Formats: sequence, C-alpha cells, structure tokens
Amino acid sequence: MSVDSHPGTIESLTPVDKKRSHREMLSMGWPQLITCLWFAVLFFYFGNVHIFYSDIWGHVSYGDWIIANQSLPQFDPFLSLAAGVPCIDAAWLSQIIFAKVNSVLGVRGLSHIFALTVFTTHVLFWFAFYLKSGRVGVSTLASFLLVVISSSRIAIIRPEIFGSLCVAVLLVIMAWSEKYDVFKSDLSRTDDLEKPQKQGAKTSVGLLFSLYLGIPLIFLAWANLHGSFVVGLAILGLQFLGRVIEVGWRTRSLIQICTDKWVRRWLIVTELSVCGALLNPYHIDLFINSLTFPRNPNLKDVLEWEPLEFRDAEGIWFCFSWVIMLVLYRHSRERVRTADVLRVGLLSLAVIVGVRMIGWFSVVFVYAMVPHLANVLPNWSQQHPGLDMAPPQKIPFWAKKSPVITAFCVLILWFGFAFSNIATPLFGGTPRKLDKIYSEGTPRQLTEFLKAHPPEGQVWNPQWWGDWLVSDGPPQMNVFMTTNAVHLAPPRVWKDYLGIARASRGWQSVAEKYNVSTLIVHKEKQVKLDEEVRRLKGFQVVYEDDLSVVVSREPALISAAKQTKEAGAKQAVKAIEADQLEPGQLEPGQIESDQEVQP
Amino acid sequence: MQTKTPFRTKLRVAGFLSFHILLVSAAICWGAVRFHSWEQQKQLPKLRLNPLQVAPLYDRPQIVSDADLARVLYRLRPQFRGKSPQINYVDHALRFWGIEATFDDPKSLSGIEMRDILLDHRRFDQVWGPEAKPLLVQNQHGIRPRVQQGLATSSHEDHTLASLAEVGTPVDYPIVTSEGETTLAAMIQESLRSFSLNQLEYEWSTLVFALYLQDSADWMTSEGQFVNFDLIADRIMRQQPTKGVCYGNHRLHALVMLLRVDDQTPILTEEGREKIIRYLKNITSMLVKTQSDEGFWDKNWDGHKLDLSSEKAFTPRARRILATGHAMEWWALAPQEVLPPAETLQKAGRWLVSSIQEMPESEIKNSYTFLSHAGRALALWRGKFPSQIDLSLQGK
Repeated sequence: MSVDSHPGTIESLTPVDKKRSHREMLSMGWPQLITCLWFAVLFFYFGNVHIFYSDIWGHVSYGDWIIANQSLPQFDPFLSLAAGVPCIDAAWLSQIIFAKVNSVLGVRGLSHIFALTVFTTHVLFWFAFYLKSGRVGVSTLASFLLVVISSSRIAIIRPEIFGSLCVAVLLVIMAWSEKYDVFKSDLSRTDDLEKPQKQGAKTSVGLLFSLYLGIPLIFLAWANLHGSFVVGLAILGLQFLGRVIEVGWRTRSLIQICTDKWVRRWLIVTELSVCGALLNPYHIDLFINSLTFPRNPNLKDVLEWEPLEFRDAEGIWFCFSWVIMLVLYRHSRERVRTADVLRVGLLSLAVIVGVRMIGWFSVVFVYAMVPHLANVLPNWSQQHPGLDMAPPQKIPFWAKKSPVITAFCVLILWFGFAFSNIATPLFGGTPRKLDKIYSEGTPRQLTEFLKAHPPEGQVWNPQWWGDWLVSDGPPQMNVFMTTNAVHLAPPRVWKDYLGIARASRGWQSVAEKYNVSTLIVHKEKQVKLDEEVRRLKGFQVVYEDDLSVVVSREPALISAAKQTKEAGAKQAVKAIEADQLEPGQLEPGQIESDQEVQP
Repeated sequence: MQTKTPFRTKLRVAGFLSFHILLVSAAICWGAVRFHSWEQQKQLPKLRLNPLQVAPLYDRPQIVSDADLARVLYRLRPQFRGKSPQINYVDHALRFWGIEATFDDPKSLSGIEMRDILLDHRRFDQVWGPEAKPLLVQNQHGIRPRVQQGLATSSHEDHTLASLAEVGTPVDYPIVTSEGETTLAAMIQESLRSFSLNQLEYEWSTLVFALYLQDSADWMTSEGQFVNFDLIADRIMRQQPTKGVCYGNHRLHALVMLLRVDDQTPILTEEGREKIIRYLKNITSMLVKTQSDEGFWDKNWDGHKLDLSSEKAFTPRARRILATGHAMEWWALAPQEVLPPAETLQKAGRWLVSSIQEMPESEIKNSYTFLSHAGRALALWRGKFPSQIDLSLQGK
C-alpha cells in the first residue's frame, strides 16, 4: 500500500523552475493567452445572458414572501389550486438572496449576481482541473468541454447556480487532496514506494482544514441554497467508496481498508458533510424530499425531467462524452480512479433517467477525464521545460513564452472586465437597457395592463409566465400554474392545465370546472388555443400585443378594454388629423423600453 | 509473506467500524422514521360505524297536503321488478325510499331488494344476467361501482355510495362482489383513495365523507394534498351556480349537508360555515328573484338567458321539475337562515304537485331520477322520509 505523487505536482517543483529569472517568471505562453481569452469570453457571455421569464421570478417572489413573513412557506403562497400540498422549500436561502438583490439593485442586480456566480464557478472548475492536470491548456480545454456538454443548462438563472458554485469549491478541495490521495497499485515499481509514505505524512494543514471544516461548511450552505446538495454528497460518498474499493482490491484486507488514512478521511468528511447538510430548516426531511422529488408524477411532462433522447442536443453531447471517454481510456496511461468511474456511471444513469442531470454529469465527467486528457495530449512544456534548456530555434510555436503574451493576457482580462455590464457602475457609461436584460419572451406590457385592470377571478395562464405574473402582475392575482409550483400542483390540476394549454378536446369544460374567467395565451407557443379562445362564448379579447392575448368574461376587464380601444381610436384620429402619427409610435398601454419595471 | 495483525490494531479497527456503522445506522433510522411518518400522513381517516343521519327540519302542510303527498309518492313507487333494472334508477329509488320501504305493489322493489341489487353481485347477476359486467369491480384503490358505462352502471361518481350513506348503511355491511366478499368500508376507502379535490363530480363524494368520517381532521389525498371540509366547500362554491350535475343543485345539496353534519359534529371552521351560509343566502335570493309566476324554475335559474343548445333529452316540464324539485329538496334540509320566503316555497310545492300528477306514466318512467328528488323534497317538507308516508291516503 502506498501513495504516489501526482505528475502535475512534480512539474511545478522542478529545480529548473526555481532558477527562472523574473523575466521568465513574467512570461506566459499561448495556453495562458487562450485561457485568458476563454474567460474573457465567458465573462462577457454570462454578463449578457438574458433573465429568462420563467422560474427565477418565482424564486424572487418566494424570497419576498419569506422576508415579509419571516418564515418559510408551508404551502405554495401563490397557487391557490395547490392549497394543502405541503411544500419543502429547498432553495429558501437562494430565494432570499435573489429577492434581496432584486429589491436593492433591481433586475440588473440579478443579472450581475448570475454573471459573477457562474463565472466564479467556471474559474473554480478550471482551477480544479489545473490542480489535477498541472497544465493550463488542458484545464482550459476541459473547461471548454464542460461548457459545451452542459450548454443547454448553463444560461439559466436559478438557485442551481449556487449549487454549481458549491460543487466547484468541493472539486477544488478534492483535486487538491488527490495529490495525496492516490493509491499505488504497481508495487513492483520500487522507486515509487518511498514517495507515498512521505506524501501521506505531508498532507498540508490547509488541506486538512479544507477537508474537515471547509467541505462540511460547503454542504451547510449548499443544503440551504439548493436541493442538488444530494448530488454533492454522492460525489463525496463515491470518493470514499472508490478509495475503499481501490484499497480493498489491492490488499484484500478489511484491516488495511479500515486503517487506510484516506479511507478514514473521506468517511469522516462525508459524515461531517451529512451533518452540515442536516443543519437546514427541514433537517432530514430535506434529504427525503430531494431523493423522492424526481418521482413527482407532474415532472414527467416537464421537458428537463424527461428521459434522455439521444437525438436531442443533450443526447448528442452525452454520446459524444462517452466516445471521448472510451478514446481517452484506450490511449491514456494514467490510472483510472475507481471513484471517477463510479461517479461517471451514477451520473450517466441519472442523465438517462432525467436529462436535467446533464449539468452535473458534465462536471464529474470532465473532472474524471482531465488527467487522461493531460496524459494523451502532447505536453510541449514538459518536452522543453525551461526556456534556457533548449535552443530557441527548437522551441515549437505552441511552447513559446513571452512577456508580450503576458501583456496581452492582462489586456484581454482588463477588456473582458471593462466592457462587461458589471463594470458600468464603476467606470460609468450607459447601463444595459432593460430590454437587453429581460428575455424577449417576458410579457412586460401584459403585466402593465393587468396591473391597471386586475382580474378578480381565476386566471388561466401559460405555466412559464406564471412566475412573472405573480412577481410583476397585480397582487393577489389568482394564477393557474407557475413553473416553481409544477411539483406542488395536484396531478389532476396539472393534467387539466396541460389539457387547456394544448387546447385538447373539451378544454372549455375543464376551464369551466375551475371557473376560469380570464385566459392569457402565448400567441406564438399556443397557436391552437389562441384561435379557440377568441371564439369562446361569453369571453372577449381585452388585451393583445405581439406576445400575448387576453380574453375575459369579467365585466370590469371588458369595459376597460372598450375604454382603452375607444381612447386609442380617438387618439389615432387626432394624431392623423394633426399629422403627428409616426411609424413606431407607441400604442396606448405600451411602456418605454428602458423604463424600469420593478418586479 | 503476510504479517499477523496485532490484536490491538484489530480492536481499534473493530471500534472504528462499530462507531461508524452505528453513526450511519442512526442516520438511516432517522430517515426511515421520518419517511414512515410521511407515509403515515397518507393514512385514510377513520370511519364511523353508522353514517350520520340528516333528518328533515320542517313540517309545512301549506307546501304539500298529506293527500297530495301520498298521491305524488304513489306515482313514484320504484316499479323496477323484473329483468335489467337501470342501476341509476335503483340507486335513486333507494335513496328516495330508504331501506325501510316496502310496497304492496308486486312490481315495486323494497328498500332491501334495491340495496341487494347494488351490493350483492349474486342478486345483480340474477336481474342483469351473466352477460352483464359486474357492477362492483376491483381497482388499485379498492372496490367501486362502475360509473357511466351503460344502464347496468351508476350514473355519477360516488352516487351509489352516497345513496347508501344517506339511507344509513353501516360501514361493516357485507358486500358481495364477483370476486369475493368484503364490507362497505372497502368502497368508502376506495372513494377516499381515489378522491381528487378537482375531480369532475365531487358532490356525492363530499356526502360520503361528511356522513362517514369519524372526525374533522385534515386528511391527505392520494395526490398529496391535505383536504378538509372547508376546502371541499370552497371547491363546491368555486364554479358558477348552474354549473354541475342537475343544473348545479347537487352542489347546493352537498353544502347544506355539510352544514347539517356540522350541527351534529363540528367539521367546518367558523369562517367556513359562515362562507357557506353567505353563499347559500345569495343563491336563495337569486332563486327568489327568478322564480316563475307558476312557481317553477328552469335550467337558467341564475337569471341568465335560457340556453338550450346543450339540452337534448329533456322536455320543458322535465327541466323545470328537475330544477324545482332539487331546489326544494336542499331547502327542506337547510337551516332556517338560508330559506326563501314561505310564499316562494308554497308556489314551488304546489307547482311540483300539480305537474307530477299531470305527468303521463311514460314520462314518469323516463324522468324517474330527478322525480325521485322532487318526491323526496315534498316528503321532507312534511318532516318525514318518504317511507314514513302512508301511501294508502292517495286514494282519498
């Protein structure tokens, strides 16, 4: 039994490195330049991601509710049709953060917190990959791979981003620990036998603190931020199990397994992490909720909870990942870690069952592949470890290092930050227009109309707009469905919702069952329903814009619509008479594009 | 060559293993206990052995005289003896006449005979023949009668069960299905398990729960929703007045039954009760306004324009008896505060009596289901159940 050193650690500790001059120390190569460029692009991209109109607004509303009531909701506070369905709010802390940011900084603040969180997450992922591979270029390639595989889930602002941040910190600590926690199998290589014992003894205090204090604290935060903490526990638990299997396989001895330092460490860290995660308002109920959540029957109809379709983008990237993995395993001479195999296996199954897990899969997959990527890809800098060791003419182009490149790196990073939206408050300039922050499909004009003319009865609305309507619509509006409460709606309500959404046969009677008095329809996504609601007996179109149409049988809304129409007509006539009507002039009820709409 | 592990090391390993196994076991046990308590929440509420009885409150001869009542009820005897009696007629007749009913007429079924057809597959088999599918079937939730699948099935969700509840069938009453013997409790439990607050027909399920449930504690449906009678009442009051079976009147009947059960054993909150009373008062004032000069109401009893586009089977008289008979029935059981003026009731009662007496025999046969409500209403306004009325008075 022994622990060997990691190739990556040797690279940075060679005597040659120590002898480098200041100039050499300040010299960077192409990999660093590409890395800086990559992160500048990522920062720019995350800073410009639109705030989607869906569940983020539900989380903001939940946060506002929690702050206002100083307690967690027992039932969904906004969906009367889900009254009596117990609610475990697994993301309460994230919701408070979102609500606070939104109340202080508005929607721009939400955009900033998203950009900063996701960017930090990717920097940490990169750092974890670097700790594993010891190579800048490989880490950047791995970071790129991760973004590509999880591309379908990367640009959505929701509490899951804090879960990703937690897993990134966890992976950094795990990658750090893996420099020490490596089980040596080939005992015949006697030259390596001494190293592990030395390294085992040299486990740094910082690492031990990170393991025994840092990781449990991560889980304490994670369990209160998002329900994905169970994925983190699985990652950690499998690290322990992997170590057990590795030691057990080689030694065939229970005593050896139990006395192995890293087996003990990972076990204790996992247990402490479970204890940390238990420090949440629901205690172990949160675990049960997180584990049983995917069994919710309503989720079968939600795209991101559907099983993997190999023809979809996620399916293609998933298959691509497996092909890469097989190729790397075939050609790499790096040891395959049992924990990595277990994690990739478990998360692959999870993705096959529910495509939503692709984000988590991409993380463990890339984390597992990094050492093999490093092993397979040629290492120019190792072939020519120092500028002084090889004649200049023989240095390949990709291995060149220069202070000029360093300057470019700094410049790229500076431009990446200076031109980002986050820098605007610091350096001045025009803040990003609200139209560029809200996603195109956000029905902002609709909620302006509804606030002016609040419906009193049951409103039927597309589920994806429900959260926005709750957040930005009139207070106490009785919405039919929200994205945030799909899992809380009784299954019959959900089925009935879908029946109306798809304008299935007899949908009118279903709407009647709920005494729906106002229907909001997404014109582009619900073409059939759009056609049918206009013919609905007793209902009239009371509002329409490019995005939505509202029909109602509420007298107040109908008369308001008539008044608006008459006022609009009079205004138009006056404008024509005065020859003032210009193309693109705002219609009555429209709002200025840059007018701040405080959710 | 393997070295022997020292005893002390073994002891330390054993201690280490025991400690961690204990720790993990404790966490698993905690989880299991909590999961079990989650599952316990889904446990069905307790049933009372005998359902609560809701007795008539008033005796008003001004609405219907003894002789008129006897004459009307005589016309509405359950003359279903013979092959293939429609199950919705049988369960309506059972609810109308009760278990105690017996008739001199050989064509009429007694209350016990009707109950047997509904609850004993052997008897059902005799009257419907072996070709007919059994009325009582087993599903994943328990035993239930087939609904809206032809003449040999019940007409509405939980209607048969509610009828059995209203006539006082105890939960341990034996029922015989094609697959074996069980008790009525199995049917009630099936209803509880399959109940959804947003199901299409919920009026009779409400009656079943109100009459059979032991206490008023919330219970969890199989959809994971805690429900209570306040929430059910809200659901009942949610729709527009005339929407629902029999122009919405069964919803009003169910609300009245909730109030009456609440009088016997609290099942509603103060606020919930007030809400129902307010709602029923509004309905009553609406009905008072829309009553015809002759005394009847029609499908459009809420005052809207009469829409006959979806009306296929019913003649104007049938529609009016349906609307008027049902309203008179729930008023007969309702507390004083939601009743209309006496004049409204008298006009409606007189119109019902004369209309039923004028009806040809064939129309009575075709309209038996809602005539049973009208007949029962008239009996209740005399403070009696129909089986307590002396039918021999009809000739006088």
